Amino acid sequence: MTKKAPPGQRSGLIWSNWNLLLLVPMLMLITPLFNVDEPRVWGLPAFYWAQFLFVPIGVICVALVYVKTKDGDR
Amino acid sequence: MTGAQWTQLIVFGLLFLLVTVLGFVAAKWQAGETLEHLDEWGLGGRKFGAWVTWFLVGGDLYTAYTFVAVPALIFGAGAMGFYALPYTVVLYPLIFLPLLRMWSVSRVHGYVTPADYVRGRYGSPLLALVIAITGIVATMPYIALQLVGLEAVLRTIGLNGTGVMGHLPLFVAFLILAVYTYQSGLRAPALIAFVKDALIYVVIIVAVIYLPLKLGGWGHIFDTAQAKFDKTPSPADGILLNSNNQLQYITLALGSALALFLYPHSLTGILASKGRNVIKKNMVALPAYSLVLGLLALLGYAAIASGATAITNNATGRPDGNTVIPVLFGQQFPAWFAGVAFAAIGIGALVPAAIMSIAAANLWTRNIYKEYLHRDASPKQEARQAKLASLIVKFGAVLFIVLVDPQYSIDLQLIGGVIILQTLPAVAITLYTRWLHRWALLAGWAAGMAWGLYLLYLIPNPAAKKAHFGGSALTLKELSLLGWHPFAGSAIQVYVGFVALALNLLVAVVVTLVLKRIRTFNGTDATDPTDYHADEGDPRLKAVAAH
Repeated sequence: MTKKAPPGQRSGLIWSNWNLLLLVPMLMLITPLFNVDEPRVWGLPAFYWAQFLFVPIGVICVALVYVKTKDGDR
Repeated sequence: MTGAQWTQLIVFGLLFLLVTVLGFVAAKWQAGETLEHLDEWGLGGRKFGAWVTWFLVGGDLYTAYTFVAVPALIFGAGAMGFYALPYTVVLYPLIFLPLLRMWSVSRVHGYVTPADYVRGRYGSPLLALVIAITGIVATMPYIALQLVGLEAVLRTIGLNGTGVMGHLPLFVAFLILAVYTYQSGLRAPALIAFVKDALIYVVIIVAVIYLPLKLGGWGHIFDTAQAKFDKTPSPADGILLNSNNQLQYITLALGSALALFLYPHSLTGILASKGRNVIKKNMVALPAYSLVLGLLALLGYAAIASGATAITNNATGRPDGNTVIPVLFGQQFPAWFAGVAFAAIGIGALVPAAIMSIAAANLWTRNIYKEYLHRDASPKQEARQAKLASLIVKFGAVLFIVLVDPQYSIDLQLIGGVIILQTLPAVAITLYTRWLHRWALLAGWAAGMAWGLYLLYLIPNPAAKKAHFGGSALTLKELSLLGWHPFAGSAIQVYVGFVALALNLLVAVVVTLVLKRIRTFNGTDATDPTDYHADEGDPRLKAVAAH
């Protein structure tokens, strides 16, 4: 069974600038940004609700990369 | 046992019975031509779609132990325990791209384990063996910990016997699990995961709405928790991080995220999916579980506000911190709903335990048995061997819990996270480049392992009266390079795994430079650059369950 690629198939690294969006959720690792009590939302200190906010941020970033790189990824 | 506990036990028992039936039926679910092949038994036929993968991987990563231990950590230490949320949020963007490459190359060459891949990439059975052994050693205590989660629930229901007999319910539960995993392979946890996750979501949604209402609102809960932490002598706890543990929080979250998909069981769920799109969709959808985990973590504070206390484990005679969440549920919920919640946690232990034992069995079969013991084993013999290995792995885990103090499995799990991280250069970085030399990868692994274990050994835990293996937080002033203390006087803490990985990478790079200079042979690469982009429908994919 040959493993050689058919002509025209892309090899090596396939890069899209959209991939940079994957770095945005890493902001969550900078704890001094949100390591405070006030303001509270529904009684939750900022430390907690701010990190919950990163859940949708992470989802949106990954989803955008998924949708925007659909065609080039082969 | 009280009347309420009887109700809880009956609900728990009924739901447990349901998943047992599912576990046996699973063998017939979307069955291939034979179960006598690792592609079928160990990877469910490599054809799971987006939904099944979501339940399977979700059930695999967010385990019963996580569900009891993370809130227990918050209950005990406060904000530090919340690292589980950043851990599971940064996880998906980090691994999104490498995981796709891993799936493609594994699908083209029929790799079942990460060690299979490393063997193909470097033509080095030795490097593969090292990766396989690291994977097995890191996974074993993880399986044992699922038992700790299950046992926390059983003891809360009132099955809190003394001595070895006290472990009997656990033994029965695991015996049933072992039998249907043996028969159905990966299809069993995949099917059971539907029940587990449905129960977990219902329980958490009810808990995070109902409990704060009952306990006076989140504001009151947090204030009560802060008041409790203010009274403790420890300066490290509190509802916010302090200047010394922020770096530990960051490195533990990042290190855990990097380590998670190096665990063989996480990869098993990914390799069982049918295409790249399934994985991509899951990287978008899996954070739904992170949300649940974050909410559940907050229940640790709710437990403080409710005045819940840990139950004493009659087998060890010490309070079991992991029982605080089950106790909270038992006190606050009506008995029948507490039974549902306990079943959610209990079944939550079965799914990952099954997948982990399958993953460990695959590693044993592919990278040790077939490589060193029985070179010309047929696929049928491989499948048989893996089934037996899965039994042995599970009973090993049970014996570990029964005969040895459960505390040791918690220590070992801690060590497991640090050592699995040491396979990152060989398993993840090589997906992108073959620049690192195979002997350099081995050298880096050895250095990272040795130093990581040594640093863990040095960490005491005064609260638990332990001189060694007291945690994963290294105080920087203790960090010593052959007697030199570069951070003398600093009380800042950092995750050991991270420090060990840094040394691992440094050694790997330096040794690579040396070996390139003296032109040492770097093994033969069986993979082609295009393999890393292959997708479903590609003619180059290896046929599933082919001989």
